[in-house]
Amino acid sequence: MIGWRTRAGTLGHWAGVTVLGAVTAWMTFDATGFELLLRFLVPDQRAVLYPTKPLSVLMGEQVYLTMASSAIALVVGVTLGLIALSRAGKPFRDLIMSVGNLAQTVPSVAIMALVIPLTGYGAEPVVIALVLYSILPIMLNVVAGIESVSPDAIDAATGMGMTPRQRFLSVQLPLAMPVIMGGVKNMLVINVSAATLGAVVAAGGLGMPILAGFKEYNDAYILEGALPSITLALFIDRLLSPPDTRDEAVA
Amino acid sequence: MIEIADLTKRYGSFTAVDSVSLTVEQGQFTVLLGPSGSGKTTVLRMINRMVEPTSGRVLLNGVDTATMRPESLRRTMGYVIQNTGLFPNMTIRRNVATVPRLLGWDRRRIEERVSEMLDLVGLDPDTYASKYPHQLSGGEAQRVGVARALAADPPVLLMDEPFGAVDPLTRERLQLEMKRLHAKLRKTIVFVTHDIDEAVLLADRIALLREGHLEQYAAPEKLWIEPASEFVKGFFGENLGLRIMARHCLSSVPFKPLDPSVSCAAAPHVEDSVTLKEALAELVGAKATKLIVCHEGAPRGVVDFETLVKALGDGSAPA
Repeated sequence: MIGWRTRAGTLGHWAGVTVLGAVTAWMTFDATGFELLLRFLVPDQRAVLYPTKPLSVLMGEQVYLTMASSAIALVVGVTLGLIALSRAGKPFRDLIMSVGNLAQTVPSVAIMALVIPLTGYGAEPVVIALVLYSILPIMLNVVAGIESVSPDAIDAATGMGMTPRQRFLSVQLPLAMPVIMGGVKNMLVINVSAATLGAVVAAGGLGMPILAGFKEYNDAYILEGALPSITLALFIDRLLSPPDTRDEAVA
Repeated sequence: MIEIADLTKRYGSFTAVDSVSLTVEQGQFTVLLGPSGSGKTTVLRMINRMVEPTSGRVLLNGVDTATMRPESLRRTMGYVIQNTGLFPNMTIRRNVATVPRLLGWDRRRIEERVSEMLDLVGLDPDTYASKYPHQLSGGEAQRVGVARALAADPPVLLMDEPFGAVDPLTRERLQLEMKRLHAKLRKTIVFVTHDIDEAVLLADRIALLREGHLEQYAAPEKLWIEPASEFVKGFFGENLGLRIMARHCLSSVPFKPLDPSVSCAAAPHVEDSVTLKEALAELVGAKATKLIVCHEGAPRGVVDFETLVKALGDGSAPA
């Protein structure tokens, strides 16, 4: 029973994803074409492309920083969320939550500054800062998602003879998935932009042309780093937003 | 057969169920009835061990359920709840297939069984199997709930106020269909409700509970004729007789003989397939003292007020 509206919604969704992905890829890999665009946007600047590293390498570093930190945060956040939900973890729930909260109140730059003496410069301080920053939203969404599952569905699942494990995997987790995925999406979008901070601690990434642009009063460098970062964030946001497939309920 | 013996459930100092004993025979439709807080749902949930009793036992065909694995026990008992508890992330097909899948049936057998069950509850499998729960009306969803509970052909069906959340018209239709299903499948059913009409219509025997105590456990006719206490009498009220009349078909009543020359069209008459309550309404409506009972247009006998009331009065009318 898929109506035309549903199909149109899905089509529009994927069209958006494709366009954003294509634009990001174009900026990343077609240096000549992107240079023309930057010259058009900043006509009075002699050099418009950051000379130290090509954009494709910077993008690679950006994606690496984002994915590494998000993957670690996902594992830790989901684990902590499940512990907070478990029978054994219930008493520690407030504690876990407040630790997560605390981690988020410390500015990422401060975290980086604090861990650099331990890790040295490079990717590690950025990844650590982003992980600490991302754990709370993931954990909160895991808890909120699982708790939003209708008690009737859980009661029915138990009453029909599902084991706690079967109930969790086939009822609670799938029903909590939209909420959890919402948290994952927000984390990725935030981390893509926050990873530009890596430039400060020599971790590379799209922050490097931005930082250079600051120092050298070159707006073109700033745009070179910022534009792909923005379209990448939008691409991830669209990719992970469920298409509008709401169907009218049958009366 | 379910034997409940001295079943008690305490929460702290509060006693939700106090030493309840009753036996549900094979194929019997038992209704647990009572006001809210009477412990009826707790009794039901102790049968499939959703609630563990503080003391007392539940025997299923002579086996103490406390010795069974709760999951295995529950898979032999269909479970229907008020708000259906359908899984919103699964199609109707997947929902109905839940227990067969848990039991590891093969795919083809499950598919056939799902269609069979949807047919049984009056939903066309081709139309409904691929839908999601949010696309159904309340009545349809509850039918799916019943289909899902019956899918693995459990000998026992536990139903917790299954029709409490649907509109009155739908509720009445679902009740009549439940009655038909029970007559056809002869499952052992334990059904919780606070609706007296529903209880009297459906039950072979009613267990009336109050504040965790079993007040009386008997057929509705017996509750009417020999209420065990003032509470029982007061709970069912003045209308119980009339409600019981709705349980019985006119054809089950001994008619008075009839002059064979009388035709059905000549005088006030009723078909013998109506209930006693409907026959009474007909009698009053026609301002008559007696009615000719007809079977497909052929006169079979005569009933009057006395016959109708006597049919219940001795308590011998079959349920």
